[in-house]
Amino acid sequence: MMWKNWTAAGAAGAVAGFATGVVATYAQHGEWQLKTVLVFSILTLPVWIGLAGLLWVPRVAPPEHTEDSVEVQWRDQAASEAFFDVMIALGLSTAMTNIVGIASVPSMLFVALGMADWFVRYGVPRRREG
Amino acid sequence: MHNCQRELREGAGLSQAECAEALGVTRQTVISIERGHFDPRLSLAFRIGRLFGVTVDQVFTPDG
Repeated sequence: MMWKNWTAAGAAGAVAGFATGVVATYAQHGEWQLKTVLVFSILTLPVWIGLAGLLWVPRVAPPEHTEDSVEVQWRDQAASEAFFDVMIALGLSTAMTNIVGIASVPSMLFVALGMADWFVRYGVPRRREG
Repeated sequence: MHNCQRELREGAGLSQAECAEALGVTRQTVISIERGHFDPRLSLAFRIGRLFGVTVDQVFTPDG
């Protein structure tokens, strides 16, 4: 039964990924470019399948008082610390850009830093306690 | 914060999973409390006390 849900999630993810590719090609080039469609479709496919899976694939019911669980504390602490790390990185980057005159750092790097930082900071206590 | 949740739980004949279900939290939460690595919120502390029929300060004692 579960495979049917995952199949539906995979199909929905593929459609959403393709739609993302179509939006990307017309937004960036104003015309159909197969390479852009394929790149965006493939790169966003795992994200869309994951999101569709959250909606369609039944999971174990969460505990009644999730907010009191230790995982919530890990999540919030990781988010808080990652936020401050990103703020420090942004500050240093801004200072270096203006003082030394180097080219500005792409904002995508800070997004990646924040996500990776959160992932590590959440993962460390989880691994230590698990 | 020290606590005697493990002794209370074992005295009541509950596994960590059963205790977690009764408290409405994850099993990892019970493990972390018993190891002394997680100080629960007041709402959970009161539920722990109620579950074992004791007061909160009989379960948790401050360090020092």
